[in-house]
Amino acid sequence: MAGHKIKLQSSDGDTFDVEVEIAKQSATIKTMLEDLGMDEEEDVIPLPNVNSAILKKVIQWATHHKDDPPPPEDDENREKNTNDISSWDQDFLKVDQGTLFELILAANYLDIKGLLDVTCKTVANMIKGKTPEEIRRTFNIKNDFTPQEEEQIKKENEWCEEK
Amino acid sequence: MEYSSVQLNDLPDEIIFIIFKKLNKLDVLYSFINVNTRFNNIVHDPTFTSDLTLFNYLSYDYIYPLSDLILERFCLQILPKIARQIKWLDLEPLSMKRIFLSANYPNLFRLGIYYIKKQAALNLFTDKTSVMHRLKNDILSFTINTINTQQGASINLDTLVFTHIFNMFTNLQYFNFDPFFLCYQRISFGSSPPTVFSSTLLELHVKVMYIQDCLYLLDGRFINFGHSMLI
Repeated sequence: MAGHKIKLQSSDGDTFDVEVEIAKQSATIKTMLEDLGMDEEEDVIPLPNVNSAILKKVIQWATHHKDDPPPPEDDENREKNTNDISSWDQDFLKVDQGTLFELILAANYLDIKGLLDVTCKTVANMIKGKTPEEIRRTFNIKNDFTPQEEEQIKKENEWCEEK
Repeated sequence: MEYSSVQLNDLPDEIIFIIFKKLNKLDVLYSFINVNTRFNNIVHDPTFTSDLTLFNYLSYDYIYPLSDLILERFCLQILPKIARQIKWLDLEPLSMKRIFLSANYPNLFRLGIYYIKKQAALNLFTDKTSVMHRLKNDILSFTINTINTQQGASINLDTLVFTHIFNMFTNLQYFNFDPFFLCYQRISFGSSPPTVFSSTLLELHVKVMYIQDCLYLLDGRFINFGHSMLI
């Protein structure tokens, strides 16, 4: 039914009125609506894994993409292309890293393929061409190798150089 | 909107895999081998290590080697670490020797060599010091794409390469001597039957010049032939 709305509740208790067709881009919500028969406007769908700020962004994304065709099925053999992110999505994803990763977690939990695809591609683009040291710096990852492991890495390199 | 503190390293493995699958395997290995223990474990998964194409390509007929910087990192730091996981390698001739010298590949059974000059291909399978000798009993599946030198001499050269490959890889089950539609590789045995036999070959892709060549290949010399594509 066009314009029919449901309520989505974030982990921190905020409630958002969302058109059913927009909310159904989430396979998780679609399944809840169909399996539990939750189609009344008073029904509230709790989303305990998504906070209010992220849910707001997810709804914004889903609203913009409500008329998109269904995303294609994953194909391992398809050419890897991370440069096909629309300019709207690029602007939408100009957020701090933490927000980007929370959007990925939300897209995964809510099972929104299009959002998961575009957020993961954005991270993939941040990774491309970086050395391990640059990766550590970019993503604030700690080098947790033991001194023995570090020594082993050096030895392996020396062995290769001698060959 | 408040800033979130979630970081890449906080994401579950399942999502790290989804992100990494958006990248080519070489990008994943280049950037994440030796970052930390967790990422080392993730990138050692067969998804990223079992089969590698160690060259760049824009199309099937435009292949070029990895840059020196990337090749250096692969040969010194990455391939020695993942060599045991590698089952399938696709290589181009300029970097091939260095890649084979950088590590032993005890589980490699599938090999592809692309864009190699016909004479260089022949040398590879006739030179006793060639790296191919190390693999002679291991390779079960082999694909080769040669590039043209002189038009007239190429059929003889192609036939020689074809024959020597059979003599080299004694356990071959799959042999693709015709990987691309536009690839000019064609063999002919003339009036005498070829000297190639195999009790292991199951599938052969090859272009032949004459119907007699086709009959030679189907005369029972490949006793376990499942199916073949002969053009």
